[in-house]
Amino acid sequence: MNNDIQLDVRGLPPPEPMERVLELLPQINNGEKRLRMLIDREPLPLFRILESEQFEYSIRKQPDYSYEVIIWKKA
Amino acid sequence: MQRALTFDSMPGLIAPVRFFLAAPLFAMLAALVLLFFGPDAWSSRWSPVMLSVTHLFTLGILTMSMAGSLIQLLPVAFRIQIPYPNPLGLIVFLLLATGTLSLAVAFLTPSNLLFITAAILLGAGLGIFIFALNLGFWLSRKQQAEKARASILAIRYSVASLTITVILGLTLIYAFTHPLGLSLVALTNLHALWGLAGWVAILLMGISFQVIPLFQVTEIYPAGMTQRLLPVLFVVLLLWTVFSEWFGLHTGIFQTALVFVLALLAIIFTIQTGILLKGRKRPEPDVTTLFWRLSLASLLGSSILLPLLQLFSLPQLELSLGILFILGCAYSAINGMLYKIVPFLVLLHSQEIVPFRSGAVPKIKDILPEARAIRQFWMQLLTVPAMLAAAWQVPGFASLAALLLLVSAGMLFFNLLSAVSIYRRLAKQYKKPLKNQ
Repeated sequence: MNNDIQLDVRGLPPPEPMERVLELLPQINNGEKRLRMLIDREPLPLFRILESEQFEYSIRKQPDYSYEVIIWKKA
Repeated sequence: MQRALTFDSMPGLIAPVRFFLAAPLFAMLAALVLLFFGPDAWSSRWSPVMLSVTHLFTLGILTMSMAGSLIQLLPVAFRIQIPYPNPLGLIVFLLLATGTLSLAVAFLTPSNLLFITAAILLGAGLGIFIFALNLGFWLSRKQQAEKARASILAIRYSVASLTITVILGLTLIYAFTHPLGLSLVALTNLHALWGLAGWVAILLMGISFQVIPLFQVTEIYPAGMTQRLLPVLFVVLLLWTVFSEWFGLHTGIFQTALVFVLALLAIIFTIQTGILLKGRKRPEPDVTTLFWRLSLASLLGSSILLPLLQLFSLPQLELSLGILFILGCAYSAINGMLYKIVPFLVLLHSQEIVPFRSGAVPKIKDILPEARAIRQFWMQLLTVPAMLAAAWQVPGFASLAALLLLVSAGMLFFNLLSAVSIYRRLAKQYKKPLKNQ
């Protein structure tokens, strides 16, 4: 989706990636946009927060061992 | 791939934090003991004051924060389930703290009753800790995180070394209070070897394999190093023990060769870690990187002093080795890591209690302002050479070094406490008591 908000947090130490994502979540809260992030690790603590706040996500491992995570508001 | 952390089962904030807050308090206590007894403490590593201070450091600071980190790290980073982490943490903490205090006072008095009390408290506390960790390893043997296998192996070697250290320590207390005709010097050297080169160094290196790439944003360590360095080190310690005076197989040339191998392993680790830190993706050093640099420089210094001790058996040289390894290398690395771990824990736990989108979740830079941590780093950086000067009997430095340690540890305590109090404030505001987290 071209509408996606892009966020590349590769190379950032924890917990900066999580801080950045939490800042952006309100922008996708109305369900119109998704957040697409690139990250070095599986952001497991973030997943716990996303689940409790009614967001859904998909995760895909990249060939360079980084991860692509797409987050969107539950319909 | 070493960068693997999971957060599905995180023990409560207070469980590890009480260990981390106690560590600088024990450092302040060590400083006060040194300040009170003055230059006499520095005659040799065998002076009662120095034995007391050494154990305040090794047990009160190093073992205290390492035990806290393991209770926190094993479930989070390695999916190793420690049974009942919160009550276990509290029991281990109380026994370790009271046992360390008894031992420190026992050396100063000296009192057989206090030595025996210390043996019971420390034996029980560390015994329970070791048993719980091994139970955790066994229970989680099928679900351990694949990616972190090298670090898990390091922790197992390290805990095995702690077991040997504790057994040797208890034997020493027994031999000290009931003369057995054992060589106390040879036994003490083995106890120190397993404690420092085993429990402390193996854990520090094994944890570095995981946390340096993760938190300092470096490349990962070469697999050849993470898989081989620590098993080789452990074998060196075993051979050293078998060929020590205590076992009667003492052969000088073999012992000297082992000293050089041990120093070489430490130098290899130092160079590799130095290369990784030099190639950091972020050029400006954060406070933890500064502490790592101090730690590595001190480890390099220890690796040079260790073989030198074979040539010149000077009390000042022995003290310098202890200062560089315990204060300069191990305590500095732990000090730096605490500045990553504690704010991170405060952030994660705050997120659980603060309503989403309230904007009340604090930022890391507000939980622990970097400038404040860096000011404490400079104090720590001054403390190490001041302690070395005190060891070499430079006039005035016995007091100055103790004062610097007191200030440095006091600043560390204050910095960690103010980070934790941010969580306490939020917990009060959102009406969830700290102990239930």
